[in-house]
Amino acid sequence: MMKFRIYQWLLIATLAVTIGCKKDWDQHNTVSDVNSGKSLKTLMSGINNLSKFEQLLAQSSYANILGSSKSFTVFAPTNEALIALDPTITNDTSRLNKFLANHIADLRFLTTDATDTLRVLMLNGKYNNFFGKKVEEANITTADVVGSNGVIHVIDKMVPNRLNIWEIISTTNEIPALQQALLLKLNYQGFDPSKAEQTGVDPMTGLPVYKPGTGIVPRNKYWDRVYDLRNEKNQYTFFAIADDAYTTQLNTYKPFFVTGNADSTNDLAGYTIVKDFTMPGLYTQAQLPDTLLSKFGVKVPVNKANIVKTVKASNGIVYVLSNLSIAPVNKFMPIVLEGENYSGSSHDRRSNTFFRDRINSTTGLPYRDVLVSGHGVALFNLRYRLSEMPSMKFKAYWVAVNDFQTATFTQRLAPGVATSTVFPYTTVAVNNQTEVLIGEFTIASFQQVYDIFLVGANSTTAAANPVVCDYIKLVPSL
Amino acid sequence: MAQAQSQGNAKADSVKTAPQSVLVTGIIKDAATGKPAAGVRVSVAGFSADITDNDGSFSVKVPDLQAQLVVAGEGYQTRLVPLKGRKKLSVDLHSESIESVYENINMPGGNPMRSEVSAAAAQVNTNGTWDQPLEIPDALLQGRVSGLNAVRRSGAPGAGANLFLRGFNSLYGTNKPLLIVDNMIYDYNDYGESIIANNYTNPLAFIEAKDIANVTVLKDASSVYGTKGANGAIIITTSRAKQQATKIDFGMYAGANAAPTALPVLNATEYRSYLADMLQSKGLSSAAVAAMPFMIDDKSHPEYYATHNNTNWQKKVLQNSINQNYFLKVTGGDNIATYALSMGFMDNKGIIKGTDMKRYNTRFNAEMNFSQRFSGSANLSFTYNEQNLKDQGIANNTNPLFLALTKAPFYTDREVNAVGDVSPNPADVDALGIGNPTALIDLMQGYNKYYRFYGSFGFKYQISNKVSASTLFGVTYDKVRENIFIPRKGVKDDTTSNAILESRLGAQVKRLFTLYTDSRISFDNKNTKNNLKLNLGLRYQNNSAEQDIARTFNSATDELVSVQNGVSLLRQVGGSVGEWNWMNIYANAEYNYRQRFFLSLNAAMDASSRFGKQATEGIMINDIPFAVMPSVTAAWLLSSEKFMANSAISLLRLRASWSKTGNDDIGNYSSRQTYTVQSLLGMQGLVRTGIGNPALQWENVQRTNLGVDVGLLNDRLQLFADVWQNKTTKMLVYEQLPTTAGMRSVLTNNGAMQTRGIDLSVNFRAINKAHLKWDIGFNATTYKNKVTTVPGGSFETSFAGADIITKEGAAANQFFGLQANGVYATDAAAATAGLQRRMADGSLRPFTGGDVIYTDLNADKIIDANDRIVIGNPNASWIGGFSNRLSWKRFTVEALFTFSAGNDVYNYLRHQLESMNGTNNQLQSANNRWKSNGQITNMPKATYGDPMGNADFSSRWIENGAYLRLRTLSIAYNIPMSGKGMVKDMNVYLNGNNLLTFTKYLGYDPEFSANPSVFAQGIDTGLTPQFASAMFGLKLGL
Repeated sequence: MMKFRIYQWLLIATLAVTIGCKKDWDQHNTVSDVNSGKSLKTLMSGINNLSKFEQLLAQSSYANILGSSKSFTVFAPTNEALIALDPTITNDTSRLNKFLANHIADLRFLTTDATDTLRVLMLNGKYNNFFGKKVEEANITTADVVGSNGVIHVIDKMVPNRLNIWEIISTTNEIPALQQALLLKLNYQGFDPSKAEQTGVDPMTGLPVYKPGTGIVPRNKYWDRVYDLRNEKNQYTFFAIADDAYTTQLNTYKPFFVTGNADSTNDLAGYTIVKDFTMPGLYTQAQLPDTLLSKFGVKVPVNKANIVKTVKASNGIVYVLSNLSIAPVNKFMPIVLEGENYSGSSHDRRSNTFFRDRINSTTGLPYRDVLVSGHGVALFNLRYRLSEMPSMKFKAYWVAVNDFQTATFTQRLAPGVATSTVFPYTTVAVNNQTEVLIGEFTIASFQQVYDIFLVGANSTTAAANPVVCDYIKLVPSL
Repeated sequence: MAQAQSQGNAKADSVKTAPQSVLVTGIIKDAATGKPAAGVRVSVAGFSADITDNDGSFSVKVPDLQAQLVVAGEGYQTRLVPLKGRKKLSVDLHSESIESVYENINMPGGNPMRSEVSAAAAQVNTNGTWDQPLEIPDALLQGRVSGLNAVRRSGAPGAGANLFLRGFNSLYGTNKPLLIVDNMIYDYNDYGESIIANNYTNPLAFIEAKDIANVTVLKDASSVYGTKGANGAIIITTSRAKQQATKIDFGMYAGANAAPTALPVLNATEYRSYLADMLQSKGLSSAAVAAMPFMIDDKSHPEYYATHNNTNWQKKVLQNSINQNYFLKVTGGDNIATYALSMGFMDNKGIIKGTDMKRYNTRFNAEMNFSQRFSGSANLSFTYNEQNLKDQGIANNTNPLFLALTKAPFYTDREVNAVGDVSPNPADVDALGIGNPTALIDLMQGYNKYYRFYGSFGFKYQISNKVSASTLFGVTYDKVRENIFIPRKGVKDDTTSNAILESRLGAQVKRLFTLYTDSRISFDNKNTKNNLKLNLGLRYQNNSAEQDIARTFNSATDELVSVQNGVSLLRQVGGSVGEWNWMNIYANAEYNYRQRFFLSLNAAMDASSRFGKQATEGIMINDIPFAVMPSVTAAWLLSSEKFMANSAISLLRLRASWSKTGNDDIGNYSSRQTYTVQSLLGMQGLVRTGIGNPALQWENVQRTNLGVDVGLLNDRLQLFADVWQNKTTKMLVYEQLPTTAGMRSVLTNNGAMQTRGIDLSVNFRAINKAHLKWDIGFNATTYKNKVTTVPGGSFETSFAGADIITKEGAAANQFFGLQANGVYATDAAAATAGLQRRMADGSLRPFTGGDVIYTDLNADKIIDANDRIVIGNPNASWIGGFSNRLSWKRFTVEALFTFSAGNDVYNYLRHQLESMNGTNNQLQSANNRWKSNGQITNMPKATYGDPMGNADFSSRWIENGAYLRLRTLSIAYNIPMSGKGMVKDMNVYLNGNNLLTFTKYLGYDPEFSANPSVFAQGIDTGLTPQFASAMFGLKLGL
């Protein structure tokens, strides 16, 4: 009897302890905030006015994502905001997925994090701008509803799924036809090793060998040289001009691109026009200054009054203007050839070649130049290679510092070929550190590749035939 | 032995009865049944004796009516009955299972009745502990003796307990009580730590608890042990033959250990959300986070199956395990020699997979009478232990349990390919940099093989009836061999200044050799009134200890596991050698008048190789300093006085003692100037290691004790109370030196400390029927420690990330940190408070929502080290035990509860698991972390690297460490036997350990002791937790 009672007590005590211990942990682990312990899925069903969004989620492939782990930011449009939703989207799962994915982001972004504009990467790969209580154009009406796996912001408008600038250019008719045609003409096929199938390694070079025909990807010269307008992460402002204004510009620029082929001339002139039409960053109409500086250092005057169309893109904005003209004098920049960066020489005289670091006494700036002396060759030359030279007249200058001997000597520039006698021999005075005008020369037609030579005296005497150059400057003479 | 001797004398004396005598008659009855007790011996020491008849009556001549009768019978407790003028007596005798103050107790100077001992001493009769087969002796003592705090180190097999007797008396010296086993000092110090992280090779694991006959805890007046007696003494006596007939006992046990309840860490779902937050706060973009394999929920991803699991890592490390134990004891002999022989085997598997302990123990004790006057004894034991171990405690890359708590649950422990096929190979370190606990369980090797020979021979010559000479000579030889191999597979690399350490290999050998002698001359004069006992003796101890360690790294493959396979360039070899000698001359005199007044004087004079030559205290003999340690104790047995004749108080005794003891644990060579080898650009040379302090001496501990023993209801209720004070002077401290000294600090004797406390213990036989007996025992201790002098008034130490302050006027080891008061709910609330935190670069950063609200103690609006206050005290205000013994017919149920109250604990493990400053898995409380403005919670936000110091050492990590535990519960049944067969008696046991624990502590278990240092107490470093176990056993008596 006694034993039984003890057993009973022990049982009760065991239970009490089990419960007691559990209670301490439970108490410690309880999530004190009501919402913080719930998943976004649960939370959302508790928020008024989101039933439509919930229903759309249930219809889509994102049905369970908000109940899963990880961490999400959801911009949930209210029922009122979703009234405007195109019913074709609702009925097309892939479009619906895209639409919904534009409202959900990985990780947790609170309004307190968005004290400066946050580019939030959405699940569809697009970025939305999140600043304070605004995401894109939508206002956040209920902010920072934090759950166990992220946060919900209730918004009063849908966040539309926008095209990026390149998609606008290539797939819509938003920009004028001539420019669209030009930009698409810059397409070419490129090779991407990461997309190619490797079949082996070349035993001689150790380089990978790829299966022919793989790794070919579409590329575009504009993406390579200017900006990749498909990049969702960055924002750009893109300008397009009306066809008539474009044609006027084209005619202005055609003479600089003399080729044997009208099409080539058109394309080259066209590219020269549009290369300065993309600016990094997003300029709203209000923010747009009257002059912008392009990637190539060209001043781009923008007259807001000329804006005829504005197209918002997921990675920026496209403005169509009635006119935006840049004069050739602003477009073509002087070309500076650093003396030490020559592309080749007539003879291998590396032991006679000096790269010298000096301070220019006139400008006070440090410079590096090239000096080839004691080479023992008559008509020794250094070759400088230029590319895509427009057909126009240039003024040529150099800075050649003769501080290594007391006697003067001569050298000359030879555009095109080393034997060119367009310029006579010019005396290099002692210790002249200023720019010296050599003269003018004209390139008759557009040159894909163009060489200019610095030629030494026709002498084998060391004091007479040095070649020295800090830089050569070619200034378009327009 | 001594008892037998005195009884022999008594018999001899009883023949020549003194002329004046009074005849006393009486009746002896059994207190439980009320029936007369036959065959009970009634005697007056050194005068006369009688044995009761079947009706329990006796008649005995006494010198006068103030004499005291000694009543002793088989199965009954021995009693001292004062006549107090009575001629006719009736005595109710209790059975021997009740603790009695009249039982004999093993003391340093002999084997007197406990009532004759005026020092504070308690005895534990373990009854062979047949019902608790797995206990290690130090842990066995937990909760059984007031004043003795046994804190179990961990749940690793054989770990045992750290022992503190009446608090602590030293900061840097030992606080262990001296251990005497069979009259010889049992060295249980640790000579060099284990190479298997945070394991402790427990020398007490060599002693099989069933070999222990009894344990005396001498809390006071231990000055006969001179400078080894500062922390009191524990005297263990191993089994002897009680009778000459051959007695064979065989016990076999088998049982199970239960894995502790897993800590509630985040599961894979919760953890992934936590991880996403953490990676975001690290500054990773959402694209970078989304690209991580564990975030990609696409089954075709090659790492999908390796990163989408929900692994309970603790289950991969913790296990339920089995244990077994066999023990054989043979006792017997004849009138020339008696012997006790025992041997045993134990195999206890740990609750961490791959850990165990095997013990093979043998013991031979003999007592021989070579002639009438010349006798001898032998106590020999040899024990061999083998353990497989894993790293534990703070070893974040190699402790499998810690890895199990911090590893991401979405990983799995085996390699998995792209289509989900599981390989038997353990997975490697994961992308988050956490090793694989299973790799450590499967591939790590850590074994420890250790043995000890502990043996002594003693001889005694009875020169005359009163004078005897005895000597004891003994040897301890102890060897520990450890080997460790940590694989490269699945374990995070370690980086040193010149290499990346992939696999780690090591070996260690430790040796201890001790010679011990103890010789004495004793004088024992007994008559009816005055009893005098004198001892004069000399103890000598010669010790040498050696430790050799080799560590190498990066063996070619994980199959090459022994230490010579490492890269020779990375080899590390080290060790230590220590030799020291101790000599102790001691004298003690014990006098009592009519066994009512007791006075004892003790003194010891110690010399030790450790003492500095210029020690300021003590006396110099031949330029050698000798420490002088006197003590005096007195007691008065009031209840034997005439004026107490009609009192209901059956026992009343007052005790007082004062003693001075010393602590010689000051380092073998600390008082000398030493040099160490150093290489400078390839040149070898010797440099000084610190400053030798030739005045360095032992620490003094002065103990004062006042006690009272009370017995009521014919001693059914007994109460023992002591008020005590320990005062340490000349305490070792590290004194800071000026920078011009070229050394940081020097060890001096300039500290002082005191501890005051109360010990209480109560025994009560609640039910005393023939077939039903219920004994309740309760003991408790409280003490307060106070540092009285340390250089500079205070200093700080740190352990496991905790700052500990030692400050004059307060306890020596208080936790010192920031005071946390919750979490700022909003940025606005934080801005209103206006507090800032200093960053590593010196700049200030304001607290924001989700940061911890720290108290700005100095009101300078900056939270830094100056805002720290005392946030906890690891010393318990009450510790003790509560025991129950219920016997009903042939059943015996014993239950022992232990408790600790009022102690604060620094939960290092929870600190690690709630820091929320990295990608380690956390406790489920991390779900409650602050996430957005307005959220009211007590868990701060999760931030990578924790720049605001939300996880700094603060009151957040200090918890109440109080607990009440059902330490053991055992049920024994004595099976009735005819007695005709070979088996004479048979008992079955059912035993449970740690079955219940009541605590609010948020960890595996509130009991742990990372190391014996004062500064490591109350810090949960995540050692293997205590676990519950249950066993079934059978004992056969042949």
